[in-house]
Amino acid sequence: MLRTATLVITFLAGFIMIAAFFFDVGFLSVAEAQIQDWGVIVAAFALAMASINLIQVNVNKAVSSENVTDKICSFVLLASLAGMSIIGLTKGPTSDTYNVLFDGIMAPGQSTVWALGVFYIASAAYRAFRVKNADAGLLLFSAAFVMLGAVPVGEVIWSGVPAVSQWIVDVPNMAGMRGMLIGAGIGAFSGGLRLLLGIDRTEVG
Amino acid sequence: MIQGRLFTFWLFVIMSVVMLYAGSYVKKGNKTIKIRRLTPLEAIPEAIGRATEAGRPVHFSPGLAAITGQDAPQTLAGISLLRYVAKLTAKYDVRLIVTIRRPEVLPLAQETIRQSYLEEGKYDSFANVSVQFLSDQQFAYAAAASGVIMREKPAASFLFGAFWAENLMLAEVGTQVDAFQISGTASIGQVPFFVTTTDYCLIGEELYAAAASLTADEVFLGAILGQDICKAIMVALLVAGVIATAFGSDLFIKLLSL
Repeated sequence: MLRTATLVITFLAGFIMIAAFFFDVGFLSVAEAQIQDWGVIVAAFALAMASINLIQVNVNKAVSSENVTDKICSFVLLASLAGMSIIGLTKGPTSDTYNVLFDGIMAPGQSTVWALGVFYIASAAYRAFRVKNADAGLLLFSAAFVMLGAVPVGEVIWSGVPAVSQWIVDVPNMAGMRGMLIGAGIGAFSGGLRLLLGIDRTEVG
Repeated sequence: MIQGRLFTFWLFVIMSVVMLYAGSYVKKGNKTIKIRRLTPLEAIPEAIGRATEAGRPVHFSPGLAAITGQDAPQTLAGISLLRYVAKLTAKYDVRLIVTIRRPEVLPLAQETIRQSYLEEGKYDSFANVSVQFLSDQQFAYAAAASGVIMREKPAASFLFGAFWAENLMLAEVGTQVDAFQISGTASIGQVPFFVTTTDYCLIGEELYAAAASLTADEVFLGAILGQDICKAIMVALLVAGVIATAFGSDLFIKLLSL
């Protein structure tokens, strides 16, 4: 019964969203907006569940983990969670204290993690460009051209470098990317259709 | 009909009919479908076998996308692969660690794993599974998942789903702890990073085809046949469009803007 209800709700919600995309009919637009609102409500419940999971996992680690780093990380996380929640609930998420903590700790922390990516690119490139076979050689050759084309010294070495670099990006690279994009798009469409019609029931259990 | 969506609508109808017909055609036994070997899939048992021998856990990430929006099919494909991985970790009694970014994916992952352990008759071992929500912020998740990988030192790491700029970080940290890594994504911009950093990678639509090759169910196999027919239609449209445009016709431009 529950399974059938889930399949019916999935079908109706998906069908209304698709119909509202193609047809400009008043009641469809209203229904589409309603479904999106329900989605926000479901997401809010999911966030509450996820928060409980986060607290459970980290309380367990803070109390019983044998790894000291684990204990410290979990303690810092729980303290931060409690601190931000208390400030957010008492002073509001637009208060100066909340903003200072968010803009002063959270935002720079995220930027730092993002910036670390450059070191990972360097180490990944080092491994990727080791010429072990013809394919890796081709990769190194084309990547060297593309990188040289992106810096002024490339043009100094040979005036044709920027043009060759741009050709590699625009023609063989783009052809491959578009091929993958079409395949991935059709694959996603097929998966969505199976789910919508209840053919694929793996998510319903 | 909303202006500019007529062509898309008919394409949607044609593709739907083709896929459903292909599904029923294969199900009736009219055609035997053989899917080419997907090496990354075949490597999954090997990776879990290595974790069993090493006595180290297995890490799984179903990507960073939600179960709504254009990247949702990738998350759902990731969850399908999680089912397969969870069955193997249950079978071999290997600890499974799943890191989650989107809150709504958490119950889906938990239920999928619970079901897999039940089916394998290892429900008692389900208590050893750690499904952790880390953060819904992209780089906070990346930092936390990297931390989990560094501390837990999994022998195998599976990254299946939609990823963005953080994918290289997750894969490189996996390399640092010497994890056997298998990835799969249809986020086209991220494929090169996974190809260069992980041991095996499911590229683009292979992620979706993986579920079909795991189940060997006729309907799924029919869907693969339907996808191939749709691809042929797309290629035919592309070639016709290029030829028409080369000869100065704007027929396809008008058709697409209907």
